[in-house]
Amino acid sequence: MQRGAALRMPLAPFRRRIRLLLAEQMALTGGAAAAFVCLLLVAMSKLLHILHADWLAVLSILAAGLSAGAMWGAVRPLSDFDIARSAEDRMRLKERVSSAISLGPRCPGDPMVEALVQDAAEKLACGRPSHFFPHRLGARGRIFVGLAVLLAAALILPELPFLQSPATRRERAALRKEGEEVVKLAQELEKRRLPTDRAKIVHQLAMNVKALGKDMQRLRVTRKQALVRLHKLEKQAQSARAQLLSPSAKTSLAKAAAALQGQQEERARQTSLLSQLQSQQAAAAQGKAQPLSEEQRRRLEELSRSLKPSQARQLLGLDGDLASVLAQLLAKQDVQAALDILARLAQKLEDPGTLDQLSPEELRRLEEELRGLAEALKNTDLDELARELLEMAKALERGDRKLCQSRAGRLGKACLGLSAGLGACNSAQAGLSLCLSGLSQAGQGVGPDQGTSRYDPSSPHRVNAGTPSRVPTQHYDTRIPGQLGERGEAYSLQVLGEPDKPGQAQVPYYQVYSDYSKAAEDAVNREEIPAPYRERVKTYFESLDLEKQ
Amino acid sequence: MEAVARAERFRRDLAALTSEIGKVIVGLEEAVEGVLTCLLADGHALLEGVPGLGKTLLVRTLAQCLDLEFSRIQFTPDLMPADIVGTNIIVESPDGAREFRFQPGPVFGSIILADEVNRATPKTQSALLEAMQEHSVTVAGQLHRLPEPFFVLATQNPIEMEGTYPLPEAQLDRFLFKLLVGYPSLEQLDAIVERTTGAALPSVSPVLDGPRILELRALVREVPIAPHVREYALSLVLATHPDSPVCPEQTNRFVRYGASPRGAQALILAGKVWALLDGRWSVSFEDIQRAAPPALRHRILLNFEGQAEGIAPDDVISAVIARLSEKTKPALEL
Repeated sequence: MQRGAALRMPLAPFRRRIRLLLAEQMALTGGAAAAFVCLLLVAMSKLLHILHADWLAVLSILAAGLSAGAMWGAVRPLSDFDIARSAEDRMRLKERVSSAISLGPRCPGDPMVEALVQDAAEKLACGRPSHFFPHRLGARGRIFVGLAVLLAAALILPELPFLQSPATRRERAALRKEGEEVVKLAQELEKRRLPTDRAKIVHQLAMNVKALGKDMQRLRVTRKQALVRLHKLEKQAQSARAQLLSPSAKTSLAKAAAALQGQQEERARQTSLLSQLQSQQAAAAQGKAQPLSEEQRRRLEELSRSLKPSQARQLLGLDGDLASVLAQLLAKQDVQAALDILARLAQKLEDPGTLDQLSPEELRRLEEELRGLAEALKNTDLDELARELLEMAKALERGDRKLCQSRAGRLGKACLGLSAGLGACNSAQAGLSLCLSGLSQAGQGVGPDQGTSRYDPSSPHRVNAGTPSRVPTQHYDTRIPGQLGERGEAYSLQVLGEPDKPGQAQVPYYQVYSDYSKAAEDAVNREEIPAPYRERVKTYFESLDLEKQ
Repeated sequence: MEAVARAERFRRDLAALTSEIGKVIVGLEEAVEGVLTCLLADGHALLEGVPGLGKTLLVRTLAQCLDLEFSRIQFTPDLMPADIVGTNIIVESPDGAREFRFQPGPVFGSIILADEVNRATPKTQSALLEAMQEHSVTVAGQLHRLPEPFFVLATQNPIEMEGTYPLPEAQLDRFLFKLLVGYPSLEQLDAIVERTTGAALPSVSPVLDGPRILELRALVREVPIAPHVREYALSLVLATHPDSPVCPEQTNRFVRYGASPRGAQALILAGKVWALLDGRWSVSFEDIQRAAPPALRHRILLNFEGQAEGIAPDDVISAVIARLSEKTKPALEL
């Protein structure tokens, strides 16, 4: 026990010192490993564009490596023997200490071993640990420094403008600029105040848009990656729009528009018949025509009673009947405008004075109009509004004006919320489309620093779409025999796929349509179709959908 | 601290002995140190060198410095074993009776100089086998103990191979060290000439006697050796064997047989002597490494390829030491 204590005391400062140096060395080892990993990441990021390695990520990995190494060095178990070996190696004590450590407990009472232990303790006590174990960079340190310098060079050099090609500079400038636009768009989306249930959808969209914008600003993504993500966000905006509308819509808005239009046509036909009967009655009164038959008189009275001017039209001051106006707007897919009109109607009807001023006959006509609208919009994307309209009609039928006002309030809120949400989605989609277009053009040499105007959806002819990318597909060239041109050039025709054999079709069109439609939609989603053409391609394939039409 | 005092005396005595030898012998520090190491480690030494380098003088000087009986045996081809160990002769007693009486040979001394040991036939050389290992000789079935301390110093000439008989492995193995005596430097040669051509020849006086040498030998054996150092010595010996897991490539290529366990004993005993001389209480890696060439070079038997390539056993030993250098480094790399 005494022997152990005799050596442990002078060994303690060496243990502390060695522990410190070990932590340093391990930290450098960990740092070197982390630097190597970072180098790989940077290489993958710069060359393969698989991952993104920016300063923050690199510094985090380096810090993690250094800390892990230092931690391991600090907690690694160290035996007295290991300490003794290191100490005697540095102090050139020729295995005095390690021999004393090994033999001390084994040979109690041996005078030579006692002398050995005492000698070792004396020699250790004479040495200053910091003198024999100075801080050294060492091989590991040099490797770490070398890798760190290499890493810094790999991160900094590609960023230096004079080392980049003009095309790369243009592309990066375009990415930054479009990134700013995308961030602004995200901020605008965030500012929009929406009802809680709809805010979540738009907020999520805004977050994603903002993340992409920041990535683009910081050049964390390549142009290609940015294009793909922009396209995905565009799809997400579409999806959010669909989520805002009724998700279980069975009838399209076009059908609703057609139904409303049908109602209006029937009304116009009846108006025309009424006008005709009234003219005939006036002519008969002057003796210029035969008097009306009993059936005609009954029909005239009926039409005169039923065909009154649209109550909603009067309330809202519209150019035409409410149903007619809505039918036109829905036929044009202008849901926003339709929602605005319905919101205005709701606002009017929410006002207690409005319903009080109407006569029972006017209230009945209003009720019929609301019911007609509800019927038309039922099971469409605006099913929620249809329910409110129906409830309002029922309340009017029961003469419950307060309930009608209350339902009108709810209709107004629903319209405003839906309108705001759709507005946000539309705005996002339009903005993203704009950025997509800008970025596409930048990659084709029509970048922002070349003075070309940005893409304007309303004037597609001004867009330089560039050379469309080749679609990878199986093909073979078929040479058409013929004469050489004037300058000796030959003509060849490239045929994609094998033409159908002549004869009767084996499968009806409607059976194969769904497969083709899906393939086309996948192709539209997957391939990089120039932004200005994307809508057209989509419209074309949608136009083939006979069922929807 | 009795041990400290004993060790101090050990160093003092050795210093005195070395100093006394140094009065006559110029240079040959390694050979002197090796011979003294063999003396203190209870071993025997084989000195190899061309004629005229002072091998015999060294041994004679050592014998003069020690108050011990010295015998010199000049090995020649016609030397018989009985000429070394002695023989029974018929003697007539005063009363007229005749009896066999053992007449001890020159081996019955404390310091034996076997000069040009390779000139005798193997039969005669092997007369020393029992004496060197067991410190006794058996003549006509009678065991005769040799005086203690018993110390054989053999010399051989490596260049005159005509009419010589290389020592058999068993004989070589009994030598603790094989010491190579090299040419003196210009300064050493100058000193030699000055000392030996003057009117007064240097003389030495005895410094140690037999009992004291036995005490010193006992002290050497008390020196402890740590397990990791002993393991290193054993690994070194094992690495001289072909197909050993720790041997270097040279061993596999050029060595037919490696060192025997006596090689390990020699390493450790020599290490203990040097530890004491260095003022240490335990053997170090450096002691073992230093002892390896003289202790192992005559125990390594080269194969035909090794001999054809002109490889020396010392080259193999250096390779072995280099191969095992990792064992001498601390586990913690700082």
